[in-house]
Amino acid sequence: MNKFSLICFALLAALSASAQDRQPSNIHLTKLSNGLEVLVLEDNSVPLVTVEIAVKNGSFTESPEYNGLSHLYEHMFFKANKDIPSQEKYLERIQELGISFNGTTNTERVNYFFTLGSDEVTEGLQFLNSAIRYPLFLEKEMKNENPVVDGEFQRAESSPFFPLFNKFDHKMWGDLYSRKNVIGDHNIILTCTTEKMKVIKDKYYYPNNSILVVAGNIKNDDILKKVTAIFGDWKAADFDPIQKWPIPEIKPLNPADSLSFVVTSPNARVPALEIAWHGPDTRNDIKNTLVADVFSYILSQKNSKFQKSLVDQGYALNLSINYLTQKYVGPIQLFMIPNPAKFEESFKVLKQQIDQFDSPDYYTDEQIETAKIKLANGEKYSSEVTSEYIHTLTFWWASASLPYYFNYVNEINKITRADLNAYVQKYIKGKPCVKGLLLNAEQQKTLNVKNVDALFN
Amino acid sequence: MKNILSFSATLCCLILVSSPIFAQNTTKEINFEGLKIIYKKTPKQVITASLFVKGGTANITDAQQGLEVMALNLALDGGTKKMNKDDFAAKADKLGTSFAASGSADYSTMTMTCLKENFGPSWEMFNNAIFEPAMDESEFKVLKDQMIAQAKQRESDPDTYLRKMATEALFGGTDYAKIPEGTPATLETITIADVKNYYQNLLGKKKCYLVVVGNIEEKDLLQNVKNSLAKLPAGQLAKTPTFKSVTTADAIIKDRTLATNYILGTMNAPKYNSVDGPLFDFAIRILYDRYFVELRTKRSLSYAPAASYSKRTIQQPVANLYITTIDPKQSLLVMTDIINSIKKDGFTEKEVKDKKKSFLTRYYMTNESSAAQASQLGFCEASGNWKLFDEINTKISLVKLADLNKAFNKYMTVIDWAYLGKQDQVAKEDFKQLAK
Repeated sequence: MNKFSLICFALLAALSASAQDRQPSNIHLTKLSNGLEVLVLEDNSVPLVTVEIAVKNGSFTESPEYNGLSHLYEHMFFKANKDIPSQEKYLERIQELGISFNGTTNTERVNYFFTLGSDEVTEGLQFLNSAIRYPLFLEKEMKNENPVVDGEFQRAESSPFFPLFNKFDHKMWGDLYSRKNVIGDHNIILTCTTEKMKVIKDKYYYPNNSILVVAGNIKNDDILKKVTAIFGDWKAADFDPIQKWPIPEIKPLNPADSLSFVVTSPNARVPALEIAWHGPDTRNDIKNTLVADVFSYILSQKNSKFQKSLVDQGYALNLSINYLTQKYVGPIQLFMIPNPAKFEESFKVLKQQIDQFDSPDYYTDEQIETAKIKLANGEKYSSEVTSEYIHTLTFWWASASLPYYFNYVNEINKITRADLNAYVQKYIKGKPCVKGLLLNAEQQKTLNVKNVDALFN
Repeated sequence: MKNILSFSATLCCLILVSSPIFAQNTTKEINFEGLKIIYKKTPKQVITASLFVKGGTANITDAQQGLEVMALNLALDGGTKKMNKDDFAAKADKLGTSFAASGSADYSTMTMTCLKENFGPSWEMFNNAIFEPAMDESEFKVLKDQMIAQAKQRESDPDTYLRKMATEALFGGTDYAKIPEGTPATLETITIADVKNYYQNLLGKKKCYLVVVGNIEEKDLLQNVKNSLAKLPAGQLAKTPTFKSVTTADAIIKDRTLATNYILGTMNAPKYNSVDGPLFDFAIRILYDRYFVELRTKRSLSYAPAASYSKRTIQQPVANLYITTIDPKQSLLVMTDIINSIKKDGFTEKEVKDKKKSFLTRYYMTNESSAAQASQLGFCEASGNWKLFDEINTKISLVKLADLNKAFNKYMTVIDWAYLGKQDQVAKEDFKQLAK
């Protein structure tokens, strides 16, 4: 363990030690003997319960020949299992229990959730248990689902922004593109067999790689008894999947590579620019994952120099900067719709702004404090709707940790101007980045754009 | 921070048909100095206050499309006479309060969302923006350019463009064909003088009502309203938008190179505030389930088949049949066959029994959010009476199979189709109509 890792470890330990203090009083955490983490959230405002199970799976675990299959697996979850013989019967049971259901697949987490009347929580837990532990992966159901998942892909491809985002991700992640490409590859999806589903199950679907959340009009003690009875005999893996099948490290962007591009789409009506840097992650640089959020929130304020120089002056018609917290390289993404009437100037003004990101007067102390308040208030808003809030909790569980999340506001409040400058210098200013510009063919001709880098200089 | 792109098992955006709300008997109508207030106290810490402005597309001419939404946005987002835009935004950020304006076919809204502890100062800002907006020319120019860019983006989004095609085909020549957010061409012609003049005469107690949902006591709310919105002038009565109904079968086809094809069928539907409204709502939800099972699960024709009851054109609601598919011919056939089958054999008792349960789940889920409740209460009021909200619970529990079948058969008659995708994959005759 090097010195840097030691610092991170110490910070993580500190977060863990104080986590209990910051944990909301209506949230209860337990770990079963098989390693299954259980989070119970009590909220009796409506007579509902939402049960969610999240697994550390997703595109980050996918080599190219498996790209898109965590997502396909997510779809197969809602099909036949040892207790329910077919997808039709599965859907019938959904109707009988009055369940609202869904699942989502992201880069570092797959989650499945059911909302139903709280007086039927036992049935909901049993239903979830059958699906997560005993899927049958019937050949016929698999063949039926391949084109459905591909249909979801085709809808994404129909967005005018798809050509930009897709090419962008190839440049950002290089030969590890599959690890960040959730939707996958057409051919891999359409030719996927049930054997591949079994491989995914045997690698990742274990209690000690999952968290179960039960939230709503319930009592912790009662739920723990039910959960233990139903999930207690789910056999743990004798390994940590992420250690056994390590995630390859993403190589830093290389300025010698071609990192800028122009892409055209006949359906694009407005130009769109995306710039992104490789940012911090929660394995190697926890502190800067927090600093990144504060920085983004400073620049999102309407009275920030960033917004005033670009939006108020009419150079940008839409402007945002965002950091996505991840365990494996979180991207720092800047998105701009340049005003076609001030097209060339908009890039130069943007460059001037980025060059000033670490200048002493680029943002005020008040703006730093406001960013912290906004982040703290955002957490209050996000907890309003319990059936959605639990997705936030499992996101943090997968990409950081629950102690990280429970201490988030506390740690954010410690961030200083020096921290912000250090973050900019470490991850943004002068660092290699990917630049992608989306135009339609006519705009490309009219605006005479061949090289994105040239627009900035 | 969490801001993730994800892919999901079901298409939430299409099944989130507006759900009624749990009747907790805490909703109350108050007439306060001539202003109608619909108030609901809830236990959570978020408060939503929405000022509804009736009229919608009836308030503007074809050439003014986008004007009302622009005026309301400029009022809420462009600072006030007392506080410039930057200071206003900074204060809102510190309070954790947001302000937003939106338009729809029958009404527009100005909405404030704040935390319980910050209601007082947030309300003051909200009212300053409503009564004394700065309406500064430079802010107007920024907003106008942004709205033009958004209008262009809407045209490039296949789902939004498909709906525009369907709306124009059905409601062409009437108020409901107008786009509240404007088109690039209409937005281009709007001036700051237009906005100021329009806004000056827009708000009044005869045309507006206030919906407040959140953890606030009635007396505190009224105390705040007393020195603010209660001082609105009486103003003019709202106009009712003009509309047309689906009378003849048609199909419009627009060629666009996309990875899949987008199809939307439009049919007449009953007004929500009618005996048939809740019945039809219920029936369409079962149709959605049948589409999901047949088109997606059994035949793998689509990730996103859907049927919905779109109530947002209050005078003439519509039923929508929707799919994205690479096999439009077969999909169209199956979509109409399913309806024909229901018209012939009806729904089943089990479907009705089960759907009552899932209806309730959705109903309570809407009840989790102050914003969703405010939106639903306001919509029901615009439809005739906010109490539709509370009554829907009882109405659904009393739904009978025979009544359901009758309501379904009555309205599922003529389909107006819109298609966006590869033109050579369909012919006019593929767009089937229902059996007589």
